[in-house]
Amino acid sequence: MVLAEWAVELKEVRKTYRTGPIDVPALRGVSLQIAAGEFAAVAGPSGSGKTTLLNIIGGLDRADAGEVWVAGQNLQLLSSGELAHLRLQRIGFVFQTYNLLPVLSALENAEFTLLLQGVPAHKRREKVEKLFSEVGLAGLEDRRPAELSGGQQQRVAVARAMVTEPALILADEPTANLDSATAIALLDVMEHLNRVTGTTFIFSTHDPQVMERAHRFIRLRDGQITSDETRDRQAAGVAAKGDAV
Amino acid sequence: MISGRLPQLAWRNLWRNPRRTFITMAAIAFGYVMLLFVACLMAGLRWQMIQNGTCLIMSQIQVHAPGYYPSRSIKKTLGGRQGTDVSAMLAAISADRRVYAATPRVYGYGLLSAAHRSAGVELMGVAPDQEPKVTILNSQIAKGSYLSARMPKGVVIGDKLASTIGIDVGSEIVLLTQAADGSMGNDVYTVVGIFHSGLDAVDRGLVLMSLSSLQDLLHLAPARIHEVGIKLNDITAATTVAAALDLQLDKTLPVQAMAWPELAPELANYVEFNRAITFVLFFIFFLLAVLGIMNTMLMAVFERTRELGMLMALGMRPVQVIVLILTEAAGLAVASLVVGGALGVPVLWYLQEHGLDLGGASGGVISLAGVVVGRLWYGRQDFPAYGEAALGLAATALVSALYPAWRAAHFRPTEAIRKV
Repeated sequence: MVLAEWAVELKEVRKTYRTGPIDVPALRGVSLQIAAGEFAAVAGPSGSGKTTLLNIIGGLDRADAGEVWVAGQNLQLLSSGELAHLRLQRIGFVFQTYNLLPVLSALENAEFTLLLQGVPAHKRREKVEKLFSEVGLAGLEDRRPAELSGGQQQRVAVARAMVTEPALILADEPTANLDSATAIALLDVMEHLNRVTGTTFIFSTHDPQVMERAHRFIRLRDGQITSDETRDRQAAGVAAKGDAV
Repeated sequence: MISGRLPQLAWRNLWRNPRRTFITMAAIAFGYVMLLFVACLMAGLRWQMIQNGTCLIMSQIQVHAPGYYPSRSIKKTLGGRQGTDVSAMLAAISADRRVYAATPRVYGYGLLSAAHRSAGVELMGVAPDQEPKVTILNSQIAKGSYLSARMPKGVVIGDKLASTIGIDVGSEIVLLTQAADGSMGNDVYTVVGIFHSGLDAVDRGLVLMSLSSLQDLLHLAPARIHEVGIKLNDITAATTVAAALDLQLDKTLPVQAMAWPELAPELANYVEFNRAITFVLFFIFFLLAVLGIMNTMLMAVFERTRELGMLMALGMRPVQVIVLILTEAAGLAVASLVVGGALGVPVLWYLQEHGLDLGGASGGVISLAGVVVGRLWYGRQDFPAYGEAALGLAATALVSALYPAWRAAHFRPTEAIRKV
């Protein structure tokens, strides 16, 4: 029986990639529970399975074995269309390389997921402008990505992920392309949003200063969890989201 | 849904690589201009052939006695041996508002002799004052004059016949024929005019004379005619009007009304062939366009693999990805058609107003399927064909984008996002 209070629960999840004749195990029996409102970091060296883990939690990839529960749903049982719907409605993504649409302005990029949800234009604008002022992007709404710094672009990406008010945000090495000061500023923004909205954040990293900011710190090596620490700051920093999973 | 923003996003995506989009657009636009050019010239050729084919001698509709056509027996006159009230019949035909003019005709075959030479000829008796309203042979007179009531024994012959026999305007000729009653008819006539139609068979074998003269020669009473030739206000209604006249006239007199496609099946076949050729050319262009547009759209999709993967990761459904790509292709097509249409307007205007001079290529007048085309090949606006070309190109763009769109919709987000 899986308890619904977990934002994410993984049970004995396995994933193996086949590269030509060679099988490359990416996850080897990972079990994990992440509560609603957590601000969790997944760390580990390259090839440890961080990205695979986030992709499986985000429904972008399927586990070969085990159970993956997100937002109260067993992802293994969902169709591609249902997974896309789940991602759109309940999960936000922040990518290492921002992945903004270069032909859209900052505001248009941030509202894109709302557009996919069918939210009317005035509500989209209202939500994005509110979020932009929270993440320090006020006044930059009309700029194209090429006209923004890396840190600003990543804030737009965070705003895009947050704007649909998802239960869970997955960020794959969100600070990897940012300098230290910008990375810290971005973490401030993410932590602020986590605290204010209660949205669950899971991000992968191998940046020590990012790891320090996490309230929960999960270390992966060779596709297995080698350590899982919860830090004191969690109690002060996390406000559980009322309707979170 | 994202329908409102989709065209905007698609349009901006198109202009990410302006040079590629511009080149593809230029190719489609140029192709559209070519299609307009071909459609306009082909429509002009059809029109010229139909006009020239029907207005030289034949007319657009002919009314005969049943069974007269195609054997053209001189005995089978309208109304049989008693004939008919020709004036009343012409009035009945002209009562139809779609009819521009109607004229009576008599035909016969005979031997033309002059001095030392003779030739077999077709005799056509016409009303000199009415025939020019239906056909234009009166405007083809190269020498002398057309028939007139003042010279009932005057005839007009073709230039090739004149040179073969060795006669000129003013020469006397003898026409010998078998009359409708079986006796021999012969008389002396004077050549009043020589025409040049451009059609060898006509210029070499037709003798035009007044209706009454030929009736006399054939021993036919004035009430006996073989045919009524009709010109309409709108030639495209020929078949419909012929059917209506057939029904209407048949109430008082057994008749057979035939429209030009029935009278000149080779011309009608050519017109159909011309249309088919036009569409074959369209189709060939569409096939070429498929390759060009597909190449552009594939490039556009593959260089955005990562981005499309990201959109799918965010929750964009495959069908929305397909719609996005198809919208980009549609945008490309519409913009190209607008540009092509704008460029095509002066081309179409020139073709219609000035035509193409075929004189240099043919050395003079050319004829096709037994019809004189003329030295100048004029275009004619064929808006349905322009619309079909535009719709065809738009459909081609969408079909061309289907495969790239399908490929894009099948990207796996995790793999697509990793693409550099």
